Amino acid sequence: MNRKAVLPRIVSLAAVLLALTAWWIVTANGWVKPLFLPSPPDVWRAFTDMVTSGYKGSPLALHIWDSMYRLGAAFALALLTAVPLGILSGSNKWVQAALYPFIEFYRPLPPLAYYTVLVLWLGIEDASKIMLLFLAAFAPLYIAVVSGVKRVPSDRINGARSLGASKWKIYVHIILPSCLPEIFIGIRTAVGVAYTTLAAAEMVAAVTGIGWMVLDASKFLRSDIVFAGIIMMGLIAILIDIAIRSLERKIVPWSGKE
Amino acid sequence: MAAIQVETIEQSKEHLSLPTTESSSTTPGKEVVSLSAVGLSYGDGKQQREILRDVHLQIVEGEFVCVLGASGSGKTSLLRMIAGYEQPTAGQIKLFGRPHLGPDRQVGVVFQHANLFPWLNVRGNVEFGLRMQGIRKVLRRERAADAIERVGLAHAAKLMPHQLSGGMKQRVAIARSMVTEPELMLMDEPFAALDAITREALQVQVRELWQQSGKTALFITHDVDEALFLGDRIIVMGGSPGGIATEMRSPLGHRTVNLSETRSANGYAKVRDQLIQLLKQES
Repeated sequence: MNRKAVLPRIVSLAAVLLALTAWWIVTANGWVKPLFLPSPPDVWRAFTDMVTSGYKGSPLALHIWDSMYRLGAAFALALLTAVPLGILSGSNKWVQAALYPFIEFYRPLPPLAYYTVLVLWLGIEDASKIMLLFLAAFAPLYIAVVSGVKRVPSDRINGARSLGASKWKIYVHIILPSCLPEIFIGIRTAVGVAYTTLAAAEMVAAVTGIGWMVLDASKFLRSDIVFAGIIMMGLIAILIDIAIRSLERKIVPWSGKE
Repeated sequence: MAAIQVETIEQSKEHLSLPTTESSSTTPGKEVVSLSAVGLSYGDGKQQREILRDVHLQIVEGEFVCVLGASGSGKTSLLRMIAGYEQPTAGQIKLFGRPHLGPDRQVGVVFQHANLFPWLNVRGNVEFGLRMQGIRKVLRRERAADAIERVGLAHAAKLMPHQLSGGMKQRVAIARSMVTEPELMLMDEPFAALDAITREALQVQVRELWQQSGKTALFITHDVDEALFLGDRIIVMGGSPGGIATEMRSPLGHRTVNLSETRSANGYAKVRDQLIQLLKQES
């Protein structure tokens, strides 16, 4: 890595360290009550406590796993439905015309507004939570795929037909791979939206999950656990994004270089 | 240097209406492309724009036809109709004696921009047509390797398109079209965006490949030198709406080794000037 790429990273790191130091000074001197801002050692202790003895009867790993399971299942469902439907809609204006009103209607709705309906329909178990996250992830992914299909250069399809590709093969061998860069953009947005919906999904009738953990701890004014949970959620989100981006580099190395 | 018999346009004009009567040409082969009274318009009503009008063109097996025209003369539209990407709004196009319905794997196309599939490496791109035909992997590999070798890219078979230079991309595009052995190769200004040195090397290569294959080629260009070097027959397009202004047998067609030899051939400058004059009149 050259100097130009390293310097901004040093600045980022310094800024984070500065914020942590400020946090530590403010709390160590007792300028702010621990309820409003727990000290870094307290947060760390809350974290190690959770690692060793879990939270409310379940080990920390289970909380994380349950959240990731809900997120993963919802995301997998979104991928399996949004990609084929997006490809179909992008290449057939009738399919798109039939689907658009529904997507345009529910997309701007706050997830919590229709969550109670989902709970009524699907129960208080994981099904309603997964459905909520699925709906959050579906719209951005679907929209990205549709726009990806529309941006496939027509001469790429023409060229493939001249090379003997049938209509069906064009979908599999030309349109799908052509959309991969857009699909990845959609995936990153979808995962981001679903992740922010996660805490909301775990507010209702859950007994596990990191979102639930933070909300539950806040009821008991355990700011240390709330802080530890929030920091963990942030770090997990960063890790997920890093994983998607490295997958993207591996699967669509040509993205942005055409 | 060998004395090269060059006809001037005056002499070759007698071939204009009867292009296949030239004594030195071989007996007329099978008709590959036939356009009769072909026209093309876009839009309708007041918005209508006529691109081509009343185009008649016959190309027989084994010919290398260059279509020469200024930009806007409708030469790319002509190629796109022969490729089956667009349907004529008047007249009829026949390929191999049959009505032309759409893209066909007997008609290979090389685009101005290589148009490679960015997710496939060089080998994957070249194998694409064979894969679509369901040819099994071992045979596919073999034929693709041969085609890649023939365009001089054996060392680059595993590179991705975004890692290639413009000239290399066009070589891959040529190999990709050639490997399925289409009866007719259509090339739409494939070298227009390349530097002079690369362009010249590829011109020589295209001509060699064409000679080896014995297939038919239609090559679109706005470059008079390129047309004179590559074509047996040169078709000059122009007018508005576009059409075929005139055609001639290339006086040099395939008798020179490379472009510089073409340029120094006896009488070359005169033919070239005449063609440029024609292009100016027509544009």
